[in-house]
Amino acid sequence: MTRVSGEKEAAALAQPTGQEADSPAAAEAELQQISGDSRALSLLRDASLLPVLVALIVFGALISPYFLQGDNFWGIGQYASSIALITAGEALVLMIGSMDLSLGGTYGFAPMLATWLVAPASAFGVGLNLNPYAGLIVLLLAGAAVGFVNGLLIVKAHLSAFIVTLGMLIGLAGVQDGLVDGQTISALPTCFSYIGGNFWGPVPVSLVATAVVFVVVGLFLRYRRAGRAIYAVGGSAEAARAAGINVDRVKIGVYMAAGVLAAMGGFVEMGRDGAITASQGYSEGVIFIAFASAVIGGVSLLGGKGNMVGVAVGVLVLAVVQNILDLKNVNVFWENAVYGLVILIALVIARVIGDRETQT
Amino acid sequence: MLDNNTVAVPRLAATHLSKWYGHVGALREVSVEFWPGLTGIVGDNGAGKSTLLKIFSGFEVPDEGEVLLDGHPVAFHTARAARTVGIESLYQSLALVNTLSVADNVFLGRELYRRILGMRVVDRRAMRKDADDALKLLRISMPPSRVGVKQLSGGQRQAVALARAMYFGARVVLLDEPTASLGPRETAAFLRIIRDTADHGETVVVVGHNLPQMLELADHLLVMRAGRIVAAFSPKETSLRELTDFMVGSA
Repeated sequence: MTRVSGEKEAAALAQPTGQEADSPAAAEAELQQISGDSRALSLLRDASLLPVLVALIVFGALISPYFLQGDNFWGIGQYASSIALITAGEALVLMIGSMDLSLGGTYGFAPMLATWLVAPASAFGVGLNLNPYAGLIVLLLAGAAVGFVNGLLIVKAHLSAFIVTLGMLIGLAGVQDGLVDGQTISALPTCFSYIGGNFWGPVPVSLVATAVVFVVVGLFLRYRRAGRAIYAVGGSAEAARAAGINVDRVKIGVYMAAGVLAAMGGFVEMGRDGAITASQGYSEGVIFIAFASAVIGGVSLLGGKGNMVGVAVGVLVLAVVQNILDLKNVNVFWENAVYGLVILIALVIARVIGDRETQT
Repeated sequence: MLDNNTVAVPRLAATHLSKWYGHVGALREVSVEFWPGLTGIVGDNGAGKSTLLKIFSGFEVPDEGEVLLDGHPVAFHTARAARTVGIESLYQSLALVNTLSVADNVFLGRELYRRILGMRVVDRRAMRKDADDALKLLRISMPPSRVGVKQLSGGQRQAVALARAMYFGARVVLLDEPTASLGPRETAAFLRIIRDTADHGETVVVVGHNLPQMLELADHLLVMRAGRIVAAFSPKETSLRELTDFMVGSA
């Protein structure tokens, strides 16, 4: 490696221009400006919608004296927790450049299955009276299993992610309905309602639990090889493959992780309600909120882009909007119309801000 | 091939390589040696240049023949395997992930680690620093490695891929039409980089269409036609005319 070619003439010939730098000055300056950003700024860029969130909070405080009170504020956090968990799952799938509609099904199906196995027959359970902690394991396994089947069908059988997860969404909702004949199980064991329903002082347990999950997922994406691989696979599966990344395994793993996160979200929502209904998840259209939150939070539908700080802000923006609509008693029949309009506006703002960004 | 040669075996060699696509012989019994320095391969479309490069870089498996690295037979069926033994190929669009930073791309699949509380975590700071250092060696104007690859020019992207190869101690660097998509200034800068790389004792193989450019750049020139190597020159002892004659088969 230390040998030097003796053919200096050839080397000289090979430098026809003798130029050192080759970049136009303008591009150079632009790049220098980008690189001049501090670390703190880069973290802020991750949450490009933070100003929008702050503006919404100010707006909320102005239109309702109740908005800023502790009860309401922590209530938003509790409401947002379950949405945040399923959105985190959707965000991971979007990051690999795919989509998963079935998370909305898992969000209802997994807690229903677990509760059905645990609850007594008199409360619409199957009558097995499974240990609640075993039920928790069933819940997480159900999420992982749905994701695994999705992953196999999409990655190995090369089926369309949209169609596979649409079918799965409807099928899961059907099973969820069928298990209890459309009934509601409200006899939840304590450990099923604790995270979703309890408070530590004023702080909802669900918010703390969700924050922990977000920190773990965020650090995983940033500092673990498999996390970095998710961005690479979403950015360019071919380049990732050429770099030795097992693309199929990363993708299937992400579908499974997303299923688990959706199951956890449904579990938290069940605890908040104190019951699991046949309509939780699919019928309430939670998947659309998850999609919108993720995209507003800066996750690209094209893959390779997004992070948990952005996702958290995206979820909170929509949760605050929902809360304001509730507080203002917007005509319930028109509420979705307003909500949809706000989502579109938020998307436009996110796009405008997001286009100026650099990645990770 | 080099005058002051102290190494007994070529860095990269092939014996009797053949590759067929159906009835079409893309490569016919090609035997070739690559020594430290810059070897250019020229030839008309379909002469077999790219097929030869693809075999060396693991994208294609030969039907017959053997590839030798430092005199030892090597066999690989994937680009990853070729990379592992030290053969890096720079294909323009394939190699980089647009949405990731320069540093992330340099270390893609081979991240650096440090330990926090006994857990292996990706050492982003070390990766940025090493990537910056590796790019500095190329003496090309580059933004810091934390910037996204999508913001780079074509030449800078090539430089990132080359820096990656150099950082991981590539034994051989293969380039297929490396300046095809570059403007004149960038072409000059990138040619200077690969010339430097070859002068540092690396074995660089460049496939190209631009004959005057190849005459200026290469230490050795191979001419391919119809799946065979039909001539080998030192650029000093040949001419554009002679090269063209060999390429089209009128020599």
